[in-house]
Amino acid sequence: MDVNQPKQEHLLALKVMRLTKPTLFTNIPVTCEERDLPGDLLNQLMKDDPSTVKGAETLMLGEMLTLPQNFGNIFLGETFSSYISVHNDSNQVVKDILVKADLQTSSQRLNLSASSAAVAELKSDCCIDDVIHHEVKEIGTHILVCAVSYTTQTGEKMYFRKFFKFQVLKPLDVKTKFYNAESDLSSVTDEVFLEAQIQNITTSPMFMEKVSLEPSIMYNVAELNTVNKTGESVSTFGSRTYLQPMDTRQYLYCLKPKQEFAEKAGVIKGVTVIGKLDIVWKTNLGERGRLQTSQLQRMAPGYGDVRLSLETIPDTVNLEEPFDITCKITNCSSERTMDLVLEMCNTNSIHWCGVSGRQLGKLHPSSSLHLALTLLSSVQGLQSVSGLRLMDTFLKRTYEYDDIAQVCVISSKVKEEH
Amino acid sequence: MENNQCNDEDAKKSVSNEEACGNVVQQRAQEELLFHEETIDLGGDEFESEGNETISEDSNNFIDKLNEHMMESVIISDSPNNSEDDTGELGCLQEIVEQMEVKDICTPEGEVSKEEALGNDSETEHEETPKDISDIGTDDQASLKEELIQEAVKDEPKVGNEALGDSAPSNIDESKSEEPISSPLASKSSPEAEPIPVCTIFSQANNVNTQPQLFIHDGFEPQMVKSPSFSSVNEVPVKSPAQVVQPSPSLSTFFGDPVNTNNLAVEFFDSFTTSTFISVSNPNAGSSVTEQMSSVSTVGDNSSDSADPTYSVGNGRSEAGGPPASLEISQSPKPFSQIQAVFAGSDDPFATALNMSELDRRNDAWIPSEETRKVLISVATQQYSTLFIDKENLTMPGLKFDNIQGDAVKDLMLRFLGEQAAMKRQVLNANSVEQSFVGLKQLINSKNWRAAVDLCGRLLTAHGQGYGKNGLPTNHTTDSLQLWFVRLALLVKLNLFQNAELEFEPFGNLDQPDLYYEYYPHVYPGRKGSMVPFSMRILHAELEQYLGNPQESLDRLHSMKTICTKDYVLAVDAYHTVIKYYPEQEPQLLSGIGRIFLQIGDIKTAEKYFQDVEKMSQKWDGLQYQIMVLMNRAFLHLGQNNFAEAHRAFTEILRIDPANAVANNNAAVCLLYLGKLKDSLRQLEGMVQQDPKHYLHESVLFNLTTMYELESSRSMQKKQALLEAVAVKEGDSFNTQCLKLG
Repeated sequence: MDVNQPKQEHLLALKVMRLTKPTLFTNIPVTCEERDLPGDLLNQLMKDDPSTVKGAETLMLGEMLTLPQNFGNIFLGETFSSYISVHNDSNQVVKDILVKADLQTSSQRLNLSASSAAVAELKSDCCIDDVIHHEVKEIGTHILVCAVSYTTQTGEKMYFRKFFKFQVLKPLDVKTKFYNAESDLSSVTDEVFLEAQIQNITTSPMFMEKVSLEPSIMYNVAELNTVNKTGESVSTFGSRTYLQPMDTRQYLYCLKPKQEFAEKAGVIKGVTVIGKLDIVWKTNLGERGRLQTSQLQRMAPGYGDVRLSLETIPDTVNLEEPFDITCKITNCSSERTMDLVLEMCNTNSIHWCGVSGRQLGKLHPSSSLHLALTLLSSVQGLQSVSGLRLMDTFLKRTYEYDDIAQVCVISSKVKEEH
Repeated sequence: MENNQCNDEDAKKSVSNEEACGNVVQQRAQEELLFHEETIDLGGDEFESEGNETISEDSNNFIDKLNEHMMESVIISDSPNNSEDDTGELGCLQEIVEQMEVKDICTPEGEVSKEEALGNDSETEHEETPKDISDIGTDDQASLKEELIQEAVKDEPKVGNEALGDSAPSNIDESKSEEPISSPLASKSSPEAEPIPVCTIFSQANNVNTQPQLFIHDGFEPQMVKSPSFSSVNEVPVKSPAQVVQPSPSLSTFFGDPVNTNNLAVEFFDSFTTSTFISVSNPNAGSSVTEQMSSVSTVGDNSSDSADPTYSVGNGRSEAGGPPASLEISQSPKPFSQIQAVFAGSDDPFATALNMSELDRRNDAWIPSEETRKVLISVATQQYSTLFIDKENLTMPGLKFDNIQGDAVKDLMLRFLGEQAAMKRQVLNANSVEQSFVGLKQLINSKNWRAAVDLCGRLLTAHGQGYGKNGLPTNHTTDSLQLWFVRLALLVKLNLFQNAELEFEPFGNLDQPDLYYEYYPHVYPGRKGSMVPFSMRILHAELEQYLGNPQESLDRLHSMKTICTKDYVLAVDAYHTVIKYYPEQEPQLLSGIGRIFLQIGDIKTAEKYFQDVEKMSQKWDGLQYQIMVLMNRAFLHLGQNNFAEAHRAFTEILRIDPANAVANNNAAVCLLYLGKLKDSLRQLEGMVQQDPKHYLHESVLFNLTTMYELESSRSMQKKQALLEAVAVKEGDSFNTQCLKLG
């Protein structure tokens, strides 16, 4: 700006006000009883106050709306709304007025004006009004650039701009954690549990309208955030539908691979896209915000080339009595047919029955075989089934399977008593 | 599907790329025309400087870069949102492409690689790295595959040059070693993805550095969140919580010399039309922090703000000696017999004893604490002997400040309207009324609460509990306690919470033995119970919530069924309890609950409550219920962001009840959100002129002055006109801040 030049007096004035939702006026009720010194004076004054609720004057939360009192905070995912008013302060008619509102973010510049057409003329003391809306998609510094150009009565072309800067903050902190349900014995599918922690890092309470997991094409999702109580589904968060500042909530989802994907691949390997969380929240008088996470990814548990999973196992067995389990062995490699040898190693508590080192035969890629095994435990309590080894005779590679399941071992006497 | 869309867009873009250059030139020419009278020039040369910059910087890559950018700016809307409420958006975005300045097109790339490298550097949590990378890799995998490779080839050498860049490859190595099962996808995409803009907004990037264990321990991985309609393409690196004013490189180019940006910014930016008004009755509204938290009874931490200035004034004045009244009757603690002389018609001990009605007994009943009870018993047993009681068990109040009188309205008139106008302002003050309860009531009724507070002070001074008497032994009567109650209640009404707290303090928990009738057996023979008015206990309890200690308030309220702050669930529970006791207020209370839910954003539950009210009001017909139903509907529309419908509902109320201040004001507020400033102003002005007695309310005036400010640069005269109107009607307790003249 040229310092020497005196500031140009403009005929038009530009005013900008952010339009957050209005707030409800609150009263501070101070009451007294008839026999107190002021008598019914205080109560009468409250009755006469136009901002109190008639018939229930002591309610603090009134019905009178007040305009936003300051700029406030704006968070990613919320909508930035602003009133732009251009007023003719002069006493002459101004022509060809063009008002342009741009939003400059750190990466781009957006035009927010509703119309880009010039207004032919603006009489004295008249306004050009515009309400702009923009869903905030970036964090950090935003600058609202308002430019006004017009022509004076004398034909002079005038132009000025104003800059309004504001910071967009992050409203939520989202963390996720995957649990692989591989001990799921009944199904061939691999269930995945997703636990998501969502923290309100704003300074006001936040009503969580929707927190859903949009699964990727491979999965079906079941939300585990409601409990069925007498036919009615009740939120696990109880009646508290909102998150206080800094509060965190945990959401749980169960994902099952769709049949076609589960079967095609045999097992899901490597990194898979699970889906994304979609979060919608509301604050004061329904001010809305919405965010999504990026695609959540999960590293499938490493089964290596050969996966051994349990199909059946009893939960409780008697001490020193043999019991049967069924294993499923899957060749997870892409093209290699395997020739496997099964070795069974005893542990302190687990003793395998039968011959160790037997040939299992050829196993083609993506195929599996079922194997019935017998074992017994010599120690009471919760015992871990361990000690299975599979040897790939071609690659001379051994795969170890320990702690594949747990079984409760009880004394047979105890069982009889029951 | 996205893929197709993307390709289409690409095609379009590459065409428009060539145009982009042309556009810029055109635009510049246009701007020059307009810049004829350039006043604010900082951004004015943005076109030129940026244009030059890019060309000189890497002119070789120029077209490539343009292409890249175009690929990036494609906004694939994966958001269902777009159709919902952002209909205009796509249109806007298209325009950007044309409007985009060369700078925008080019600079982000360089930045991206820089910032990305930085980001990786600071991330000690390795698991995140592959995570991020693969995020991008897969997010728009299909559409961006090819581009990624291109970009990677182009950008990697640059990254290396930046010295910081070497952290990137090493990170990748690490991440691989950490996760032995190298996924083909992750490893493939990581080098490519490196330079891609990612909106890494781990809120606690710093924490990650300092205490990485935290993350490892709980096994949770932070997730980036983004606006749904914001495709990965736009995920330009923005450093974590950018709360500090720290212009990103592209912004600093926008402002010219980046070194001076901060300084410039201060002088440079205009401020939004807002105000610093702190409402008397809505102190929350003052700060953005608590703005949305204001609930039924939330009166937040800001109350102190409004209280502070006045308080300091009060203190200052108090140094200047006592009020005139104190000269007349300057007293130290007096023997019981003399006290009654101070107040005419005070308790006649014998009459009291005789007239002890059932009502009195019920009213005075209060259960003293064990300790207090012992003291009271010993008083009773040793009737006339002087009793030594620990000082700590005595209530020894005194004024903490003795003159808060003042008329802010008059002060403002002096400032803005001149002495003559100010002379016309006539309000009652502590001197102009009878120095008694009658005068006090007169002051309260005429809304001269500051003067009333002063008068209470004078009367208390007469009773020996004036300024500086704090901590000196004194005696209490029902009247002195009533005076204290009135004084404290008015201080609360005036939002002078801290003053009230200071003066409340000597009363402790309102259970000291000298606050019981039994303590003064010869003054109140036979009378039992507490002299403390019940309302004073409530005031005492509620004061804490205004001071921002809702928990303390709750503790004090204990079993008193009153509304508690900040915890909305509790508030709602409390309302339900209140409904049981006041069934006649049920519709109002249910509506109130609905508004609480509306305020926290739970529109559905609010609707449920409003529906209950509607069902109920079918039984009770009458204007009042009809209005209530309409009012609730209007609020619901507001919650759904439908200002037009809300306006319709408020207008409907006005049809039934044209004098309804709330509906009038609210309809005007809706008009503003609909972009009709002038109409809104007309409505508010109309109602104020029509019935100033009713409508010159703080909230209405605040709205009106806010709109004046928004309307033109000449709001001052209009505000002063409002001041004149206020001067005619309001007492000294008027909160002048709503006029925004300061």
